[in-house]
Amino acid sequence: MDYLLRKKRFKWLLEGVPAYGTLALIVDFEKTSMHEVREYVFGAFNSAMLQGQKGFRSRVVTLGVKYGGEYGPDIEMVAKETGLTIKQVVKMHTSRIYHCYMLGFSPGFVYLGELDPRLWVKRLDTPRTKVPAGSVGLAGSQTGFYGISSPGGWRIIGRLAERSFDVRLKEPSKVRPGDDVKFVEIR
Amino acid sequence: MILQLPTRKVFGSLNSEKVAETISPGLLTTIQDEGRFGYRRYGIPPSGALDRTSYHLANSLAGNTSDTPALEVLGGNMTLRFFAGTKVAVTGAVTEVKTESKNSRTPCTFDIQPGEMLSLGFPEKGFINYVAFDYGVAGDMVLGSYSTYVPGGFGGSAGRAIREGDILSSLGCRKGKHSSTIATPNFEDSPRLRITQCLHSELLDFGRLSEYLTQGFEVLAESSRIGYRLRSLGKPFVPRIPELLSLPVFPGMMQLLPNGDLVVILNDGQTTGGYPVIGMLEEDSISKLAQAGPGGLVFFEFA
Repeated sequence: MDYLLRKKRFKWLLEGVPAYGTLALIVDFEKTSMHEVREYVFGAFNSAMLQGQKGFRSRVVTLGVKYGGEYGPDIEMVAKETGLTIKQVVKMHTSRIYHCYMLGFSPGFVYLGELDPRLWVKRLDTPRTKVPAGSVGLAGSQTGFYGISSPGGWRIIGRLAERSFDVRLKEPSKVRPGDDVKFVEIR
Repeated sequence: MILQLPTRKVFGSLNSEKVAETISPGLLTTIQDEGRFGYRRYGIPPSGALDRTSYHLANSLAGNTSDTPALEVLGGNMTLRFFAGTKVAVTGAVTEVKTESKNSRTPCTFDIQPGEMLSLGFPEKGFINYVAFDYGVAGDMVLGSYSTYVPGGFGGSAGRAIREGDILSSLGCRKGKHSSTIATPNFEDSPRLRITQCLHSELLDFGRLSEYLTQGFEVLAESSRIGYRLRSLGKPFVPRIPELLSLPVFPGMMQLLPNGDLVVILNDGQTTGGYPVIGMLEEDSISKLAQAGPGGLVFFEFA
């Protein structure tokens, strides 16, 4: 729906912010009316329901991850809690293609799902005051990574091998809402 | 042993004209403009001046267009020494402003001579001042804006608060259009702030909610440009609310925390949040809340 509305390049549509089952639209009401917005939004909703993802080029973004060690300080704890070996954790994490539901929390933080249920772990009891940029984490049924260094409570199992978020670029994030993401292990 | 020397920095490009040196930065001084728009889908908040009316007034008095970057000073007590003669405007919180030749009170303008110092005192009413130089304050332009976003470490004054010794330069140009309407805000003690119902207001008993919000709230010390945290002067209101999925949130939205405290999201606030959103402040009320500052007392009423 976000895609369908953005494709039309409405002058009144300043921004669309997708999240889980929500889409926030920032509208310039000097250029349109609530009536017109409703009409287009319901229209886009109906076409999205009818066509599904048709026309939306879902991109698959492949990202290299260095697992464990200094990059993934929580991987041993995750292995212990789930009864898996570190190797199995890495294998399970890299074997699925994840959908990007949204970016939020902090700049460039990418929310992905759904995780193999065998990897579901709780967040840390006490969040870290600083998690390095690019850190890949787990929280419940979700996986994701940090765009910038920030405080955070996700279990960190690795770090992206390459920068995925850079505010100096016009398109600051490699992964956008609606994209698919595949992780590969980099040794 | 590694000795960490204070890192002085010159903001702006190498060839921009140096205007002033920071003698004392105050509590938190950053470069801000109207904000960074269009990047919320990447989790990037708008940043920008918290009290837009006072910010626009500063630019207008300095001869600038409305979106020209200026200094935002939280909590006053800031001193600059000027290298170059320039026109400077100071607005916002009611504050005494001194130079060697003149004592004044905000809103005021100065024709600063080279070598002159300008000091802001402690705000008597309000919390935030804007200091605009004619032709703007130079800084890092990131994604279309000079606003500093400290939690993300980018924009404006190198993504951080201005420090002692930092050199401020002239942007050398003006941004945006001249404002058509210029207002001088007034600062009242314990302002009444206007809110409208929002996303999750209907999850609550409206009568009890509006009764709760009309009691006074104190702005807690753990407040920042990200958001202000407020505590009721009366009994906390702790209704049972189902767990919510994170959804997009915006500056001015009021969240209810499990212990009854409120968080009003401000310009550096997260783009998504999971606490129930029980109200939305009107734009003018957002500025008034920001100006109340930590320790301030505010009241809410539904519009």
